[in-house]
Amino acid sequence: MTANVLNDSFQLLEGIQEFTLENGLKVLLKQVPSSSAVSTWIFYKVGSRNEKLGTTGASHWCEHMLFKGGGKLGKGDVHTLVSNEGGRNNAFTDHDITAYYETLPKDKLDLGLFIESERMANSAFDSGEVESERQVIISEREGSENYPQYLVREEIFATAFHQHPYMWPVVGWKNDLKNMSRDDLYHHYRHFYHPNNAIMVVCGSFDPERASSEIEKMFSKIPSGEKIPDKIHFHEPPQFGERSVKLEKAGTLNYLGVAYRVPEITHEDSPALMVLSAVLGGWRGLIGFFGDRFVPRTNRLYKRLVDGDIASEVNTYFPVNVDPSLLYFDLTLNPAVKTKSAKEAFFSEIDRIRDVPPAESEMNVTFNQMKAWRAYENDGISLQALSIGYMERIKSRRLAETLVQTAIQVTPEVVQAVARRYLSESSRIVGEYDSVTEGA
Amino acid sequence: MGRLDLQREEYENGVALLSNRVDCETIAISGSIKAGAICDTHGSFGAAELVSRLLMRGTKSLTAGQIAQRIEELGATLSFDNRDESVGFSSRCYYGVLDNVLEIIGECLIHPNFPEQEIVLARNEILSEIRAEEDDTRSMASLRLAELVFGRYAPYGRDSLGKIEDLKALTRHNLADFHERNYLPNRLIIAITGGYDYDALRTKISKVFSGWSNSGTGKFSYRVDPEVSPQKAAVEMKHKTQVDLAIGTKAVARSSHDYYPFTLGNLILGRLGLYGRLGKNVRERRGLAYYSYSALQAKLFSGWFGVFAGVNPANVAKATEGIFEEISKITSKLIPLKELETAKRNSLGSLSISLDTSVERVAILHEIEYNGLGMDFLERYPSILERVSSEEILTTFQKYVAPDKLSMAAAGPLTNKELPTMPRALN
Repeated sequence: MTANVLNDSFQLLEGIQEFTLENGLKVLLKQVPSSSAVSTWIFYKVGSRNEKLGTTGASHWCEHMLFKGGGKLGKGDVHTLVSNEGGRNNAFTDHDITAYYETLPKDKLDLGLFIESERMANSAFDSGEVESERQVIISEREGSENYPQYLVREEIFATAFHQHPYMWPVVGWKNDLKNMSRDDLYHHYRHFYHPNNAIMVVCGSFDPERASSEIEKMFSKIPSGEKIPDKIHFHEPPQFGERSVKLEKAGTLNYLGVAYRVPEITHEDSPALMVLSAVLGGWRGLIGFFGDRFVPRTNRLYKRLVDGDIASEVNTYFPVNVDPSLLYFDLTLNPAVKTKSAKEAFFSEIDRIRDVPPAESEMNVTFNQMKAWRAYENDGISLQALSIGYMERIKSRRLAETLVQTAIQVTPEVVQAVARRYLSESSRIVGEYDSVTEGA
Repeated sequence: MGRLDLQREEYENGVALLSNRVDCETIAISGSIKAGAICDTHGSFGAAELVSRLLMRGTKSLTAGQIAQRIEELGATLSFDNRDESVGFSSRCYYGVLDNVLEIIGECLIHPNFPEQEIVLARNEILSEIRAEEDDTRSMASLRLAELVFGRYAPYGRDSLGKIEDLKALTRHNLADFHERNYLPNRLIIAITGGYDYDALRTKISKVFSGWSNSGTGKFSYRVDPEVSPQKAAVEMKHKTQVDLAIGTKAVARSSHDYYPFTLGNLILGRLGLYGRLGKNVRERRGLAYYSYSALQAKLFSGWFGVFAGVNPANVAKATEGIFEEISKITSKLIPLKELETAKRNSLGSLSISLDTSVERVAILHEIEYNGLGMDFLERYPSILERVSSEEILTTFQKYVAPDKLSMAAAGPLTNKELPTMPRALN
């Protein structure tokens, strides 16, 4: 109906300048002259997939330590310097990536570059600070443990992966957080934090010549590190039959998590899997960092489970990962609804899409939402830099655009075919959280 | 700070439109109607919530399914969200479908028809959320604190989701009545930013909303009880790992003269950088909590101030000590000039950066209209901040946040007896 009202003029990738310093730091510059700010991001090709048992959570802990000073930066200076200018800064760690950013007034680009160059080269990992941060990170983990959905997700990933590091949570296992040493962390930092394992993105209002020269000045002296192959030596063995896990814990509601194995995002089936995911659970962008209370309601799972009075919430998470991962669904069940009946309803929808391809109206909604969300999830220079850098780390900055452009050409029959290929009983992992009365 | 080209239009029936045109192919809308939980009456707590959830679930001319289908087919988003004062709505779309989206928003706000089956579903959804809140330490600490500060059944003190028994008793007639009394055009604000044509936008808004009259009689007011004694309470949740602490008090309305000193002091105490002074003390120095921050919510009739922290049960006393150290400091000593200047620069810079994204920009437009800040607010803002002195901040904090005015709520694996001693006569 409305395919023609959404044109294809959204041009995130137009006008990006790329260069690589001699030490291997890849730099992408995207000018947005209308902006009054500039956003500097640096993406390291390290995340929980680069960890080992015993030091799980090291990547995330390193991220915290990079706010603790070293070189010309004192403890807390990053926040103070950025705050002084009215800027914003933060960082995040995920399975495949660790990223840092500063968004500042447009004349303060140098500050963002200075912070990131010091972080890359000179973070101190002071022993006292490592100890102080240990409890902070354990507290972060314990805060998450208060949520049933977190516990279900953690169990599902741990059950799904027997060898691959996606098995543990990004924050790490608590025992590892209690025992990891300062040297473990510093070794992790030195191994992964160097220019040839990083991508810098600058987006906003700046003079590109001056920016290039400042980047050269601040980063070119940092030596290259050992080349780290992006491939890791963990190949998950095949799954033969459904895996399931049950949690019985005090609580007020029951929860259900269901995951299916899907290939890496660069796999040729990914565009069709995106459409499948959207038809089943709606679409809210590829990266999903954009905060919006919008709840897609035309999708099959919403209609069956929420309109069917079984669940109050159904969330679908489409993975954008380097390695094969999980298409993940979590359901918050209505009071008194048992996980057994929710499972039956959920699986009947999965069976339906395996049996019958999506209707034209479902494809229309999916395509229009996908096209629109390219713009929505790139609102402002910070999110644009994030999108460019995130995709560049995974494969190429063109990845998101290519995925969406390919996805909107997918036919209903192809969606049905990938549903049959990937949404099978033998490749699913089910997590049930049954609330029990406290003290029972 | 960059100047925004703002246009304001108030229609005969009171609908207010605030807009900012920028060269951009998308549109962001942020709106509200003053028909939030404050309009709930005794015995029907939850009506505002239930009505807000039913706006998109069937109107005189569209079914719930048709509304969802139209919005999503247009590549648009739309959501309504009940709060304590108003029901907010937000939408995003491409400029080419703005008219269609405005028509749907108008249809939802003016002509909901509350189908029985949809009432059952929306009610169950709310009941489920209330049950989820009861198992959420952060929610429970905040809700309990609001009760302690404002009183259990006061508009700012109660859960805007409503009361379970009231929700169960609400009928279609009650909901339609609530809508008729409270959904009035002179309570509606629409803020829009993006690449629209201004004349076409004005005409469209007029076409959609001008036939709507102010015939309702619902009250929109709240006289905040001035005297609620500080208290403390634990919500025991043995099965949880972490305790959430919430310490706070009644604060100021957005229109109060004390608002700007309060907001700058709050920034310094618990927000600037990584949670301000509280973050430095509780997180950085003591290593006790992932989050420890303060918040100021200044509303139309009053507001609240709170400090929030998530800590291991063994560290509750130490974290409380750290929090009160900082509260004592900010209520007894002048903020050094340099720190105040940093806070001011941060406020200005942060507002400027917010204007870079359409979603944040439109939220600021909405706030300007909602709080009656004036069309020149963004230009006046630097001088407003400039005038705030350390002395004013000290006086304001002494007036509202003195330790003997604070209530404390905690949720998690601890009992009332295990609540820490607060450093003055609360115990």
